[in-house]
Amino acid sequence: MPNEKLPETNDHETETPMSHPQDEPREKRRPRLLPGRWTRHVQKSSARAQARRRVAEKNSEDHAYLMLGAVPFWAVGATSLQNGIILCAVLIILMLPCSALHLILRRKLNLAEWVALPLTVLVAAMLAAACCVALVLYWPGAYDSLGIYLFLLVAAPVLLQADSYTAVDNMREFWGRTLRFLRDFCIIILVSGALRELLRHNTLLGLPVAMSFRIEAAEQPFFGLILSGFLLAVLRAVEAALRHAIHRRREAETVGKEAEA
Amino acid sequence: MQLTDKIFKGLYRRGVMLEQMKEPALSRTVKQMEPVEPCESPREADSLSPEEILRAAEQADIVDETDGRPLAEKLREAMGSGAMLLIDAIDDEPYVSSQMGPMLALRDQCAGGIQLAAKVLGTTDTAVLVYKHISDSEVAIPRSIGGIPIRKVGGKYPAQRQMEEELAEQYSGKGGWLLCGACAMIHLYRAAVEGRPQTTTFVTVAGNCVGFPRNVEAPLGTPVLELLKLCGLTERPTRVILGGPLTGTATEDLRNEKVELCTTAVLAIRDDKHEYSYTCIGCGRCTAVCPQGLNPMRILQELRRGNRRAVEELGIEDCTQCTCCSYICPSRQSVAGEILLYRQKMKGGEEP
Amino acid sequence: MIRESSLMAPYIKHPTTTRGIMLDVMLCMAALYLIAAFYYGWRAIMLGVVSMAVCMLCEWLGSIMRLERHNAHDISALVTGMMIPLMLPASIPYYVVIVADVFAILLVKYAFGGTGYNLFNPAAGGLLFVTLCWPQLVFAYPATFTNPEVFGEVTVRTTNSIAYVLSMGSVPSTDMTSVMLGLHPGPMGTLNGLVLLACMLYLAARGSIRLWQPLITLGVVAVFAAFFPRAGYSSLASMYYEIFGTAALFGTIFMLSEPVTGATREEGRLLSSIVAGLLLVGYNYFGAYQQGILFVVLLMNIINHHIDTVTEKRMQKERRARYAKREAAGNQ
Repeated sequence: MPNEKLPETNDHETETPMSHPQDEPREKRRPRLLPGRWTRHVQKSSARAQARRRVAEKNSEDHAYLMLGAVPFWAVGATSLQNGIILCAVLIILMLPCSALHLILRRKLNLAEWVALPLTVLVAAMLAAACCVALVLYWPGAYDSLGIYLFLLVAAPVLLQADSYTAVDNMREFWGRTLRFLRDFCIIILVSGALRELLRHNTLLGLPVAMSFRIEAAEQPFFGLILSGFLLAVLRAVEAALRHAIHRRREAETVGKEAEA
Repeated sequence: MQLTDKIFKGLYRRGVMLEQMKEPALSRTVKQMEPVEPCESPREADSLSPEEILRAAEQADIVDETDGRPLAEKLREAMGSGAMLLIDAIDDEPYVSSQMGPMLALRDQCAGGIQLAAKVLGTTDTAVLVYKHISDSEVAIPRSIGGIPIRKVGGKYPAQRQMEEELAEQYSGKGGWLLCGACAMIHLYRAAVEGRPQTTTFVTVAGNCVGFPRNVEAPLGTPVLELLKLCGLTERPTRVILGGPLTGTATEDLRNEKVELCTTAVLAIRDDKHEYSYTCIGCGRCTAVCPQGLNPMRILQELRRGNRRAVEELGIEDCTQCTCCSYICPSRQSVAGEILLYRQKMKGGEEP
Repeated sequence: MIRESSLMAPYIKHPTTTRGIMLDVMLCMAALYLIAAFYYGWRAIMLGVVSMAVCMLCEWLGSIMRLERHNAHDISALVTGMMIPLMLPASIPYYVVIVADVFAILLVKYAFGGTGYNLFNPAAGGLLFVTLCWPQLVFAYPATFTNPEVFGEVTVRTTNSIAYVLSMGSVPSTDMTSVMLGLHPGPMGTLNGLVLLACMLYLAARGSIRLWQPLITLGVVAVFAAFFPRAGYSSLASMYYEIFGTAALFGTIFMLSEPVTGATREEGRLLSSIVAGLLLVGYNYFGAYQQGILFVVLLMNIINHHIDTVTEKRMQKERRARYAKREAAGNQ
């Protein structure tokens, strides 16, 4: 321990991944937040692995920023499972074509942002309007319970998405990001909607569930905020664990290949 | 302006109140390990000139125990300046009485030494400083020794340091002041009058498993074990400390560890109670006691995170290692220890 | 592993430990439980026991989930567990208490990193959650000496507290002595003003809280109550009801003055207690709920962090100025 040097405050901000020499001593550890025996020391194997991890970290930061835009829907919009399903479906209907459209406008046609973005929003609004008409025609009660949130959906995620992916050049990464956002949004809105409906009315999709435990406040926004924050944390923890497992498997594979060679 | 000055004064007054536990070492006579033959032809103290006194101090190699500098060097710097001479007999740490004890027991020699040093400085303005809050003292502290007034210094634990800072402010424009150790004065007297070099140092041997705690005048280089044997151990100590309980260092190697010039005490302490440590709950006691006005709680937090810039910003350089924060911490975090380790590491990193 | 730093000075320690501080608070709350048991029978004690057990269980679970070793000497969860039922009526169903405990320990405390890292007071967080979820249960108080059933459904008739009467703008019918002794419907631990004042003095004498801190907060409340009574009674009666009739006394002593989530430095604490008093007045006069103290506690937890930042910056500036001054003096 006495030989351990404290790392600089912002060393990971200033240095580029490529500047790391491969033969750097491995003693240089990151500051530990957990007691030693639980800290997993991720071996810095190569500059490439480091660069990959850095991109992943940046992605997850962007991802959190995107998620912030989705919080109002989880907290206020998703008061029942039915609402959750509708919001989920509408988002999928809006998001996929709009993302594709925006990508085409920006990358293939090379349009300026101030032209591409309004066009995308216009298309999104038209799609939302179509959804609204369909809902009113085929599921009248559902539209009333949604209120403003169906049309709000046009603005928030689409704009956030448009804002954040201008920097992205990689097609695969762009679609990965869009799909990840969709996945997280849908999981949380469905779980949150189901839980809140269950706790408030003891029903699921309007069908009664045998339960004697009831929380009046489950319908209120504060409950949704706490619940969605909690769910998001759980989701991110699961994601981190998965990523870690994949990383370790990959490392084991490369070590095996090296051994064979 | 006045108000902020008052706040600063309040800053100095922070610290911890400690139970002094100086008895019974303080009230006992100073034990001399080697018998001293009486000097055959003592010189007359009044007839010595300042230059002669300085030369005697130089030849005797007297070291001031307050700051570890040679006494002759200190006196030469302030020679003839008329600065106030203050004698440090403040033992503000528990158990330790290695300045007060000899000062009271050998008060004639001490007073003689002070008069000699005052002659060098060319001043009549002298005082002996003694810590005020010694509640268990069985010895009555006199008003003066040999005509030199004794002034009591109050305040919480790092009293010496705080007093020095206050003096620095008070006397910055008035000819200055010089702080010398009481034991150095005794040695000065012996050197100038009896012609004896400094071969001994005063050490308090105490602790809760020492049978006969007392102040010992030990020859330099005496092994710690011998000192403990002299005073007798009642049980096996868990820890032997060189120096005071708040600023000393623990030692394991009793045979080879030797008494040095600035060793103030040898403490043998038995501590059976097991202390559990807890996570810091942020109670803020360390911040309330820090004499430097730092926030040890935040510093520790940033140290553990390894955030060097934040640590520097919080003023870790101003820490004086008084260890008040570690003493008071109810969670038993060793804040001062971690700060010291960090500074050692920083120093180690800078030198090569 | 023994940390290297723990082998360094100082070799003597102040006798107060974190455990001791917590035990002091628990002793005070035990006195409140005795009073509650006297007024409401065994159910009061049982609520406390259940709550403490659930909190310990959650503490253990939380440390497992955080992959930490559970420190068995850390009894802060017991303090939280004892505090929660004291702010609830004696007739509260057990499940409400359990939900409050789980929320307090797992979500307010362990989600932020466990003991010492919690941003909010766990007890206040848990209580606020159940208050918002089941307001009609939390605000229905049984009258004293009605002895609600120890287990099962409570059949005792419940009434409104003085705090509710005050918030409705009418005059409470309870006489002054009964208010002081706690012979009025209300949260079971916050009734007896005399015992609470004794707790305050005890904690202050033990150094757990600073006496002036609750006094300033209550002083601000009292001044506002004196000048702007909520209904047509004298200002003296208004002060009396605002302080002894509501949960303000309990909250200021056990939640606002505690050092852990409070401000660190003295000047910060002074500012914090004044702001807390003003906020409490604001919630009492304009708030939708009758017990504004919980909102104030949680808000103050956040404000205290900012107060700390400000005082720390100020202290740094002063320190630098001091050193510059001394250096200038040294150079002369």
